[in-house]
Amino acid sequence: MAKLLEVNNLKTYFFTDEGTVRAVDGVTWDLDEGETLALVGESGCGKSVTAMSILKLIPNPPGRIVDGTITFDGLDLLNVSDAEMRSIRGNRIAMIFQEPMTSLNPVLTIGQQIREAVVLHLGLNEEEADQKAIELLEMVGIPEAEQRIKDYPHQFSGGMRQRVMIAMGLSCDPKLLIADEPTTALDVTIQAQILEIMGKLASELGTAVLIITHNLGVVARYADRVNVMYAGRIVETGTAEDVFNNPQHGYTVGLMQSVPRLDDTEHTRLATIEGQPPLLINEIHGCAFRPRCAKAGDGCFCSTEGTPELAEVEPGHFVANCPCCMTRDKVPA
Amino acid sequence: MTTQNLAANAETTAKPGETLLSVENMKMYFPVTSGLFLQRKVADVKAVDGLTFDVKRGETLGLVGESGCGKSTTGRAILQLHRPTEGKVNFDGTELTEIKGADLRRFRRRMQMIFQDPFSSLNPRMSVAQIISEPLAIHGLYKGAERKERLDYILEAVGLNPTFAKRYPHEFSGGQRQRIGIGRALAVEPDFIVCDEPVSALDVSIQAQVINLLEDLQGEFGLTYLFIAHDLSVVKHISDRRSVMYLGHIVELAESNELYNNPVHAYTRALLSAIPIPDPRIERTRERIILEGDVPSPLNPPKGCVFRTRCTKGAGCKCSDTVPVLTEVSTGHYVANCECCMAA
Repeated sequence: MAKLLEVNNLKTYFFTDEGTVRAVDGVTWDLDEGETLALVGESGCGKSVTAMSILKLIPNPPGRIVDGTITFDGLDLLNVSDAEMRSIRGNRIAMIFQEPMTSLNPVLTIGQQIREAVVLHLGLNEEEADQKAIELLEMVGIPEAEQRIKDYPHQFSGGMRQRVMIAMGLSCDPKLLIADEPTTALDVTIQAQILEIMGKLASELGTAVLIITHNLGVVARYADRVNVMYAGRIVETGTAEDVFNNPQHGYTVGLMQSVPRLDDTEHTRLATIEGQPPLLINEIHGCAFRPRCAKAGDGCFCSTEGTPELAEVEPGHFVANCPCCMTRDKVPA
Repeated sequence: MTTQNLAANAETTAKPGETLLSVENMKMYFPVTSGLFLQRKVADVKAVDGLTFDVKRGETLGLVGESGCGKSTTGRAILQLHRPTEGKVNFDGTELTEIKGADLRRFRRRMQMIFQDPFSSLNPRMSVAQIISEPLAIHGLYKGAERKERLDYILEAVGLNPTFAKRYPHEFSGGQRQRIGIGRALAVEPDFIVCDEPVSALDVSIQAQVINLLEDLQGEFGLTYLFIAHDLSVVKHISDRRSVMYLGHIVELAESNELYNNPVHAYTRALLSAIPIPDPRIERTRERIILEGDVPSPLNPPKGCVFRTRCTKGAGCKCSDTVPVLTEVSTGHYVANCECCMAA
């Protein structure tokens, strides 16, 4: 399938008074048309900054994309004008944010907010835009859409607001939808509703989805491929099946073992990853996972120089080739 | 480690395995008032509406539910941080709803709480030493040089370096702060701890560390937990018995894996099916029950079975008009006896 998005050696740094924060430090990945890719990792690993870099929404100063290329549908995003970027945002690349409470404007009606994008990008007139807004709300399962477009965000529940966000995201039939922790702020039964709707609509419309999450269960259910991020770098990437059933990197293995599962039959002690992720304000030499390596003190031989490159361990399954992290005890398949 | 004892077991009359806390028909309503001068009561928010359950000494009772179902209110009402509107809360033979002032304060030492947000639950102007010593000062425990010894002991017990005592909360990460909060609760030798979403604000790898710590401390000091969380996988992992709350009511309560293997109530089944399992092989083929709509407002809850507005039967719903009561369906497995919700 054709590549929709190619990110090559992307580096996004934040230049602060205390020093340079290397939030995203050389990530390379791509996304096919119609595919769902998950970016997984803990807070501060650079997932959201990666997404913001694609949309060129990094606040500058202090942030800047210092290196790399982003190619979307044959277009070099880092070299397009601001005006051109505005015509892409919300149109060909749409984004759904984590917090449905703060990402809608409280003083505009839901209808006005949906109309804004379709009038701007699709050139519809008021009446057509209203009709489109009603259609979109019906599509995401909001009852009495004709009445509800006149309502304000505070009259909607959290789940309903996230549906509105999805409707807005899909309003211009984007090729790529970026969902940044779309369900983290919602309750589990509402989470399930929202993810089902998003997954169904994306596959109907053929939209590629980049889903950012820390919930491994969500990844297992919805993603075709997974990028595991740690300290601004990708440590493992592959199809969801490969990464979950045959994790290679020490961090991925640790992450999988540290979540209690609903289908565990016996009570076993959770495996933990000792320590915390490194502060990105200090430059990391060699393997970023070294301070938390399970072999610490017991013959850890993580690389201390350069950045481990991604190496292919099986077709389509790449791991940062730190020899130490790759030879840890594997989870039984 | 020194030979200090964390739990004041001498005072506790309940033996391990016996009932330590017994809650009977507890209701917690918050009045909604209107008017500028004459604050007339116009309605009640029925946050908790008739709960009955026991907690045995040394066990962990899990309480799961979605936001607004009354889990946290339950924890607070047990500790008498909110005075229950109605019902009984019996802790180790004493009726807590009937005592106040100094008598109640004595019990406060034995019942502690760990909060969800490690950022807002620690005073930023107090050092770790002050945070952990304050409850000791209030209850007049470990005076003089013993207090410093106690502090070091507590810090070590929760996995922090005693040299951190002079630092302030902002110098710690989320996981370490949660350890400070746990230390503060442990300092006064409690029997019973309400853990209110203690790991929801933490990253997964840090969550596992805190869960393991809570389990270790329970084993070491014979603590009893009421573990409140919205994450069913975490509750399943840590609890001996689990209960599911919906709109101020317990809809199902069961021992060990019974709740997960044989869920009876429609809400429990929907809740379980909504949790994705981190394994694509299982997850891609799993059937999901997607609930329609949202949780109704506790200001105006549905009459009778509270689940009726989201009943999976839709038009064919025959949820009861009388308030369902918990009924034992098999040993130790209780379900709100709404016939419609119980039918598979």
